[in-house]
Amino acid sequence: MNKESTRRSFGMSRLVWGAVAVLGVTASLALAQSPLAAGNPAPPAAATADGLQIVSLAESADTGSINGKSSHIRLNGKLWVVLNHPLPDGATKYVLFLNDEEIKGLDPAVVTSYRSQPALLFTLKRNSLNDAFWRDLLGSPRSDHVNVLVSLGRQSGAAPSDRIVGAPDSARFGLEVFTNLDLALATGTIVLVLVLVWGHARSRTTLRDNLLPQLAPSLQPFSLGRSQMAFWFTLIFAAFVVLFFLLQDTNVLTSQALLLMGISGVTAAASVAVDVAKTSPADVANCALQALGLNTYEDVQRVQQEIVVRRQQLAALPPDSPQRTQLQIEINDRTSILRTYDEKTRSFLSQGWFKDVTTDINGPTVHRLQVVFWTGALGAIFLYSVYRNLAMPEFNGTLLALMGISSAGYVGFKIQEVNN
Amino acid sequence: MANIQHVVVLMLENRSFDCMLGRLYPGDANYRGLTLLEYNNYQSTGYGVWNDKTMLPSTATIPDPDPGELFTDMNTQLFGAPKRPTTPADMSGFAQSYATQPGQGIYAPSAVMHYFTPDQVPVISALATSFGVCDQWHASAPCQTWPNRFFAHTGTSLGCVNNKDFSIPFTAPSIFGELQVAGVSWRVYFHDMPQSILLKDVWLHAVNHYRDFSQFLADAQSGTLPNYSFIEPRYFADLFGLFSPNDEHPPHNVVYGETLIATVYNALRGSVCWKNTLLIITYDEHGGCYDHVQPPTATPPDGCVSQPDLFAFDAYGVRVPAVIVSPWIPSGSKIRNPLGGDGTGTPFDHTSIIRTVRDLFLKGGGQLTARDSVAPSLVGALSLPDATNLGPPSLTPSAAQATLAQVSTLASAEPNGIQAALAAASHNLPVNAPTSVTDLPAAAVPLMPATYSTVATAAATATDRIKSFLGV
Repeated sequence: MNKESTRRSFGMSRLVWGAVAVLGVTASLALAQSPLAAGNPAPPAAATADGLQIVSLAESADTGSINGKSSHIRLNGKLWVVLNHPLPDGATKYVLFLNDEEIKGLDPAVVTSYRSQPALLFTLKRNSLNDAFWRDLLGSPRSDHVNVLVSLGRQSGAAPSDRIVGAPDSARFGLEVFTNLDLALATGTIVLVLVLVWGHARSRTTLRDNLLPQLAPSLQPFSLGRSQMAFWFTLIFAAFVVLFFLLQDTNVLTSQALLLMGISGVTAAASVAVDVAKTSPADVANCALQALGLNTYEDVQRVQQEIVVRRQQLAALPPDSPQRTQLQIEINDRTSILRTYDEKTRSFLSQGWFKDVTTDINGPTVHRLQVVFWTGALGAIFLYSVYRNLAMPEFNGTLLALMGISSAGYVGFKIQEVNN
Repeated sequence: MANIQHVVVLMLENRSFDCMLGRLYPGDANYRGLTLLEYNNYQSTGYGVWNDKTMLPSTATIPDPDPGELFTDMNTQLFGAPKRPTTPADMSGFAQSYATQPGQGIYAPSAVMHYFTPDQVPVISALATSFGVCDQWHASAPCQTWPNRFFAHTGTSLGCVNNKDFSIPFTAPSIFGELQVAGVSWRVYFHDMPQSILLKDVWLHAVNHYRDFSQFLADAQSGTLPNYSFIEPRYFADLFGLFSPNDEHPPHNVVYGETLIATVYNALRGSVCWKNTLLIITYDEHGGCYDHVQPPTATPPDGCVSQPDLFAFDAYGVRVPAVIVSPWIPSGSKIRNPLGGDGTGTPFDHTSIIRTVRDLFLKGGGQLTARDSVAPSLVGALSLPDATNLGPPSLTPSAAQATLAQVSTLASAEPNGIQAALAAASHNLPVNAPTSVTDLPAAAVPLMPATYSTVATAAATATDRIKSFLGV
């Protein structure tokens, strides 16, 4: 990969993380403090007493060496470590070190050869034994590759002096973190979800209460329950997509992430249930508008059109026409209905997302504000955690309980809110 | 003479005296209430007066559906035939009139023979016994709502017997105009659309003198009530506010009217104006509800004769409740025209309001028609030497609240007579109230041919246009 393509992929990297940041991330604050993923490998050690050395690294038996270059090897990929001599004790006694740190839990190396030279073949797997290693190596990515220095050593605590190393140019390569295709697919998927969930929110009722069907969709107030559910869905889905493309692993969802979605889903459902179970001011207005013949927004548009038509008919009539009185009455009646509609629906119109989700018909409420701010705070922690660890976060029970209590408080007060 | 600085009139809708107060003083020979022997025949069946003892505050809507209240209906109720005869009324056709109504629904003849017991209408009953009740107050004419309400304001209906007969604005001079000229303060407090706004006399002053009912409460609390206040109830169901009408017009629940009466009384009782206040609570007409007292003959107000019935307005309408409240009235008063003594003299009618206001604030001047000139005044009933009958400190009405379903049913119903007429008449109002004499219409215009399928649509037009007219 030349410098130009590296710059491009770095640009794409910023794009995908920028897209994630749209979801409310404040994790960028943490970037300055996060360690750089690209390591600064220790200088190569001397060759072992029996003269074993790493002479080359490769992606496969058929391709050239990747010494000192960015590779296509990534997590779950295979790494060929080419030696100058066969291992005297067999491969199973040696484990792979990257940047002088043993990767625990890998399958035993396979003894093979590379262009007639002895080689060991490793599969770079992530599991519970080496999760912390990979998290530190790949987390907080700032580039599409991370430089690693390869060495081999005996299992469990081999001293640096016993390692099999290579010359700096022979044992170093760029481990791929993500590809341009990964970035494009992840970005595209996230943007699609953002558009579907949040982009349409301006003109459709995706995130809005639909308690008054007589209102235009774009004027319906935003729903806290739906917004919270959409927030966690988008966040978790975006994280899932990013991790899937980066780690090529579908098994990244954690029980905590599912619990977060569950809490937000139950909150939204309970919120709807409260609205349905109680006679709210919106129910009363809905009923009153129906008595005026306005069952839907289409009915409102119909009445508007009827006024237009009658005004045209009136304008076409001679001044002394006996039909004028009746037409004028019909215009007046419809105008009165629309004025009543405007006046009585005013308090139900959206006043912008933040005001909608933090206020009820009487103004700002603490039970809504606390949900908004706790959700935002946990969302920020979530995103930072994904970025930092390249894994779904493992929230502790206290944080999840906090979210649950916050949501339960909202639902509880919403019952009173509806009564008001 | 009593020091009355504030006269407050609350006129409700369509209940007869016997219906509301017929059993206030059971067995009292000095009170012309029900003996429980009264009845009407219809198709060989007798329908006696009765009370529904199982009635709950939430179901105090009888009679339901609304009885007929056109001039011909009232003739049937009073004489047993739609054409008015020359013979005296025998009050025999209430059940027949109700049973033969053309509308949909079950018109059980007994419904109009129903009366409420004092415990079912505790507010008006408490005020009647704590202060005074007039068992000799008749509607001014055996006519529908508008003629009687116009009588209350002007002393005439200019020959109209039904709401639909009127031309708007109503051009007869009114007590409001007389007070305005004399510099006496007045206000009309209303809930949705004030019927009195159809008076030409008030158009130039309406913007400054018509106020929402909430302002009445504020004025009472601040002690800034005008000399004359006329309160109009809520005629339309208000689904947006979840308000049932509080005018007591059948089949509107009387409990909400009771609440309105209590609210008005409590506001006055707690006001610094209380010791100088006279409150008159009455109903515009009987609305088809049974009353046993024959309406006597009356002084024609102005020579106008109805068409095509040729009724000369020489007879009163059916008795309606009239409760007279003031700290100047002895508790338990039964108020009649002292000139009549036993009740056979000129009875009270709605023009007694005009007469009383004239006596109190216009030094007897400001006569409007021949009717109010002979009407007995209530001033004589204010017989205490000082304002010592303070009455109950407050009244607690039923806690019954209209449900969404109840109000929705009312809002979706076909408009009754006054609702339909008010909505139609709202089209006769200018978009904005006239501000100078030159803006006033040269002639009244017949009621606009507007029709409404539901109360809700009628209310939307009426309330919207009144807001525009008053600039609120």
